[in-house]
Amino acid sequence: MTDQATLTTSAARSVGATKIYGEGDTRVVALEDVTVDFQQGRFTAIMGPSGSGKSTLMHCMAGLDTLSRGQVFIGEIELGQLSEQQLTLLRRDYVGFVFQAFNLVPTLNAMENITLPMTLAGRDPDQAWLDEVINTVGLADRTTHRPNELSGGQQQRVAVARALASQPQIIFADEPTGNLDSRTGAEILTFMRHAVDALGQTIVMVTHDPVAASYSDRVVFLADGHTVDELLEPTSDSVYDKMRELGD
Amino acid sequence: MLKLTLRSLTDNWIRFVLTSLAVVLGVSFVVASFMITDSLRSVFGDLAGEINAGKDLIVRGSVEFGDRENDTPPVSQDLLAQIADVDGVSLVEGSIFQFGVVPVAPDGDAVETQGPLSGINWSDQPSLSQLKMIEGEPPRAVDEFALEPDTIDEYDFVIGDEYTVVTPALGPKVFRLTGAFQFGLDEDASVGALISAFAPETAQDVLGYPDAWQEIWIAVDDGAVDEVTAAIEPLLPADAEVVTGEASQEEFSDGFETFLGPFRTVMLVFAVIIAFVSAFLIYNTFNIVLGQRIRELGLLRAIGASGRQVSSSVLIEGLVVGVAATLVGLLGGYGAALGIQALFGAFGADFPEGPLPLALRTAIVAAVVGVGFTLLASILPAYKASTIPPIAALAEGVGARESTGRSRTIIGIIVAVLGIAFTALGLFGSFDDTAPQLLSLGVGALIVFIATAILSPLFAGPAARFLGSRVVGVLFIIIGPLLVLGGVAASVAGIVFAITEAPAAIALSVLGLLVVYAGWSALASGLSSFRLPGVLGRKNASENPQRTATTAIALTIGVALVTTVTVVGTSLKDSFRASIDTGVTADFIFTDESFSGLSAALADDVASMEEIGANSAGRSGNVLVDGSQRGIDAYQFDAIGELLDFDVSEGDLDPTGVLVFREVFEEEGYRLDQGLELTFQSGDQITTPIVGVFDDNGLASDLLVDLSVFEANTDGTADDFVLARIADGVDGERARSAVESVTAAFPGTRVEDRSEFLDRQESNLDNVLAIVNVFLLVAVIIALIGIINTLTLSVFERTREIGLMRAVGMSRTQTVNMIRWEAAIVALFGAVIGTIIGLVFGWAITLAVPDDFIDRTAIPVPSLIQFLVVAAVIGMLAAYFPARRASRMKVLDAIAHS
Repeated sequence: MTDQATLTTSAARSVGATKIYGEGDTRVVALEDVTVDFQQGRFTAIMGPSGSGKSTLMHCMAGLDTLSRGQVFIGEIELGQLSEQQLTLLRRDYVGFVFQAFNLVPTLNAMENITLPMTLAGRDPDQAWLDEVINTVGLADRTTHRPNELSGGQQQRVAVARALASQPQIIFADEPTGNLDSRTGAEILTFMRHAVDALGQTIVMVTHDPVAASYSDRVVFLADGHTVDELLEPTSDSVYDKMRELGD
Repeated sequence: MLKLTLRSLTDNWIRFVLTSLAVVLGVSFVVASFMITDSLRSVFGDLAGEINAGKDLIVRGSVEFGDRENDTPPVSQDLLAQIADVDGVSLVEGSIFQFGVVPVAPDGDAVETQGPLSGINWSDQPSLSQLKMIEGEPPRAVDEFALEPDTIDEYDFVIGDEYTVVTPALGPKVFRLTGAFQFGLDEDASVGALISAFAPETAQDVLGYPDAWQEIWIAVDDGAVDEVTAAIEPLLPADAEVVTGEASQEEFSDGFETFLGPFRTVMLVFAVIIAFVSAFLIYNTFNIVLGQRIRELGLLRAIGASGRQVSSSVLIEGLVVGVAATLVGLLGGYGAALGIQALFGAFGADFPEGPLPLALRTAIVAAVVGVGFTLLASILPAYKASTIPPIAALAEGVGARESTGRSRTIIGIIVAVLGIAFTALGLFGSFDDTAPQLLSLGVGALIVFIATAILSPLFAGPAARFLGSRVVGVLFIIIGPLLVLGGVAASVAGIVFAITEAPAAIALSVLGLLVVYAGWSALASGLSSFRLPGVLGRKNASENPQRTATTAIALTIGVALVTTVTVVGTSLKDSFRASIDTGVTADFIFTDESFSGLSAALADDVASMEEIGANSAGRSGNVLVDGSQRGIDAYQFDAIGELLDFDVSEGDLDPTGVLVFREVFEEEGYRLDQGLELTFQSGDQITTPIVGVFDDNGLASDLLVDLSVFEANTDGTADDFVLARIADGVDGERARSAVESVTAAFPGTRVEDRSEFLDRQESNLDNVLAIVNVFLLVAVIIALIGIINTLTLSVFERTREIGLMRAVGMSRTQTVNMIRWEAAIVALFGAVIGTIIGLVFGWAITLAVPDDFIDRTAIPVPSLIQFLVVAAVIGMLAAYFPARRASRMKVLDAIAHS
């Protein structure tokens, strides 16, 4: 790990990230002093049981939520310093998102959804790159369809294409296969893997599914708001084992 | 189930409040209209009682037909002595009450009030006359008069000093003020009218009753009413009658009722309009909320609730909204009544400020309107709720049954035909009475609006696409900065005026700031129409045509009504202007400021001026011809041809006969030279030949006679107006100043040239239109609430979508502009449809109104543009809260929202 950390630059990292919800009796520590680094061009999975803080970590790293203490960086940008408007621009230009469900704007067709962040920014998409992305996700004949005319798998592929299209620094995916059957899920994961390998994209994925995690380069395990372990070059079996080990 | 309904209300209290607010406004209006009319009735009822107090019997001139006005035949004063001798009569007193008595205040100006200026005779029998001196002495001598204390205080009259008083019979004359009297024997009694009292004989002379009385008041010994009546009747001439004091009081109240009735009707019409608009808002809100609660309601069905239980939960929600709104509306109505009193006060009308009673009837009507309309509006959503299948709890995209385009079209067209039929019947059908005619018209109009609501979703989609296009965006970009400038100007003006007129100035400044905001929003959203936020706003509006259409319908109704009123008003003004342009050739028109008539002396003085050529006095009244009442006008036929053009097409202005309006002439099948029997109100009957037919009655009614004929058969002494032409070769300026020096001797007389006359008539009409539009503004405010409500709900509905867009990089400003543009489209859609309906209504009404009043249809383009701009401003203001809410949404919460 140390080798890779020094060899590759970090796309995003957190330093002593702490997130506390509520006060007094209702006080919940969602993240406590989490320091973690996500290298460029790598596919990282964040795993952990419910309430481990994995979603909170992702939300804070993506600029959707703010930390109580500590710092998060996208590239060299420290998110805590940014205003609401700057966070919006950061999300637009440096971050891509894939959610578990409801990824697409229903009134826009597939192509419009894919180019949404760039349209919002008033930028023209890089047409060659766009074509490559669309071909890669296999949606060339579906670009004028509305979300309700696409299957669940196709919708997620559009979502991934949108995340890729603006060539962000990093893509955060929150249980991207959670709503899909295993075959469609595998398709999406393969595609994400391909985006990292062939297109050099950086992806951070939150999941609780060991099979999904096995597509990544590295798995970071969280429990009770702490990073507890990690696994390189995971297989679904090694992830299962590690989970069982951590569960004890 | 009930608990669940109540929980749903308390959990969504903002929605609840906004929905209720519309109903509250409707109920408030109903309550206010009843309270005000009740209050007026009690004030005038008290007055009627006071005026007739102590009078057991009244002897007075009788009229053959029509309303009793002041020009009734006088009663000889000899009769008074005879009556005094009748057994059982305890007190007798003669009385005259006449309008048109104008005292000139110490500062040299004639006193001016909105109320009537009148004169009476002093009486030393307070139990009959209700008059009491409170300072100084009663007027006894020929050159003495007294005033009530309010006038003395207000104009700084000094008791003992001499003042000019203009009287209807003798014109201006100098009188000495002897004291202050009041009408009514109680402390602090006041009628609110300006009354001058003269010594009895003087009053007979100056008020136009030489050696006669207007009425003789009689008090009789206990129980002697019938006996005395029987004894008096044989003494009376044919043109006099004896009535009881109670009968007279009733006549007074009835007379007041004829004024109050239409007033109350107008107020109720506004109330119904507002309640109707509110009903649409409620319907719309319930419908959207239903769409959002579809899973919840499906779950209820899944766990065993029946369709009936689900639908009754919606009805109960409606009931709670209705009851709560009615209760608040009762309070709001009280406030509104105070406001309306103040509004009339601000327009210069002295509103008698009585207590505002809450009658049981008022509360019942309020409940019927508040609860009734709310329940009515929730029936359809309730039915729809009952059709939600249990599977809706589980599956996406399963909803209540929606009517298809086809059935919607068919139903819509049937309703539209029905509405148009009723409207046409009301406009063009022949009715014996106006009440059913107006009812048919009103019901027809309401049905037309319902048809619009049913049909407009069919074309709301394409319409929204056009209204959300860049073309409209460019218009917004142009209008926006103009509104900002206008708003700034208004605010600054408000601040500048704040020193003198604080409340109005504050209102102006606030309004200015709102307009600045709206202008800024218009600019921003117009710019956004070129970008994604605008596109998304347009898609939201065009892809929910049903929601867009029903949200807009409230504004449609408001704009349609305002447009109708404006089209009819402008057409009326144009018609009037045209008839003055072609029909009036006089250079000066003399009228009086208090509607009490001009002293006959004025016409004589004008006639004797060397600067004046042709001139004529004019009077109007009513006569009975073949059993029907007709308007009659009288002029000096030798001169009127040079002053007015009646477009005499047959015969000529022959002073020995009568001219008839073309329409009446043909309708009745009259012939020239046939004798026409005219019965005047005084009872005089004459038979006079038809000497001509006139085609233009813009300035006359049905019949036209020479002034001498009219004077010989009526009892009045005052002229309604005087017309004059400048003598040949006399300079206009010189003539004007000469004329003004003559009118200076007749305070309260107004002299105008043609264009001044026209302008005043127009500004009177403009004032009426302004008041009507202020009331209709309430409907527009409800429309504003409606748009806020629907947009807020739609933002809530799209929480996840908005969250997603925020997550992938939509800024707050972009979010705001997306909502703004949607609001602009909805508002414009409502306004455009409303304008179209209003134009059609206005056109139909101008066709239906007789040509005497409106002979053309004007399309007031500048006003229509104004309305569209106002609609755009409303859209921008309505977008404020929903847009703010959408842009402040926490992205994370929005994404997590399910």
